[in-house]
Amino acid sequence: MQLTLWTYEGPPHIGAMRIATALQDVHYVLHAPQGDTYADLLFTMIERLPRRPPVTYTTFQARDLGGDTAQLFKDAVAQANARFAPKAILVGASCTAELIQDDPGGLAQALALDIPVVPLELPAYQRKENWGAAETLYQLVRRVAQKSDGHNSNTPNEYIRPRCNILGPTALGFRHRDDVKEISGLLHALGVRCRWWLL
Amino acid sequence: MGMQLCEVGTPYLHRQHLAHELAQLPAGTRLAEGQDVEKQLDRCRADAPDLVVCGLGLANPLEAEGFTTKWAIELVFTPIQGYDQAGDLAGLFSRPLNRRLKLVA
Repeated sequence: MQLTLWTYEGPPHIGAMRIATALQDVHYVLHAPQGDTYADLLFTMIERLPRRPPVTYTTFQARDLGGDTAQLFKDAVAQANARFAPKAILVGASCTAELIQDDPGGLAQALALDIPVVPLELPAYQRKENWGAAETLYQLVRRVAQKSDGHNSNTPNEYIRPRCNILGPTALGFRHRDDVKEISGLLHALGVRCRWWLL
Repeated sequence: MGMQLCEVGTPYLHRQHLAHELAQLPAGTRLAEGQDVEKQLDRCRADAPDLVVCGLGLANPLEAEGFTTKWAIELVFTPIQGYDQAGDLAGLFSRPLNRRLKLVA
């Protein structure tokens, strides 16, 4: 059976997972209780990816709430950074962890890692999955994009082959892989070079 | 049946509720509570068991690594109680192993 449409949206951290999974060398540390790890199986069972999404959960349980969940989060970020050696880390809370207000962004900044750390504020009780994906890509690009120096290195009369980026396709996007193939084929036929895309 | 148990992991272990089950485990069975999944996967790879009974989220990644897996949820939803269903219980464990043998052949 192949699903053509995904019929409902999840909370916004699912959108963030879709962006993280679509990128290389990006890891997402998610402050989330035991049970929220079920989101993994959207990727491993429904999309049938042969690997877990690049997500580390803090998986706190009821008894941890009597202790220091903030330290738990900091340990998870440090361990994920050591284990996966990503080039950027996204940090945030799932819908349930949002309620304990541990400030994942601030905690991760305090670790002073030598890679970009992108805090995600995804208000799970006002927004949903697609918004979460858009916000995550926006925050990530905002954090890591380099400013143009305003100079074009090409000489004025030199023919510049048009180039474009394809933004939008994500993991768990069902037809996105086919779309990317089709769109890049069309652009290639028009002489436009695709520089990169997600997935 | 001669099965050697490497590790039993559970999200939450209530030792009083599960006292009778715990007593049935072979002495020295490694118990893991909570879900530090990366460490658990490290231990799994080190043990290299013939069969991994695991959650749905881990089955395909483990299969991709060459492990034979069984979804833990099937042990919850399959009626396996009593002598007349003991065969079904054994089948849950033997099916993935047989499938692996057929795929190799």
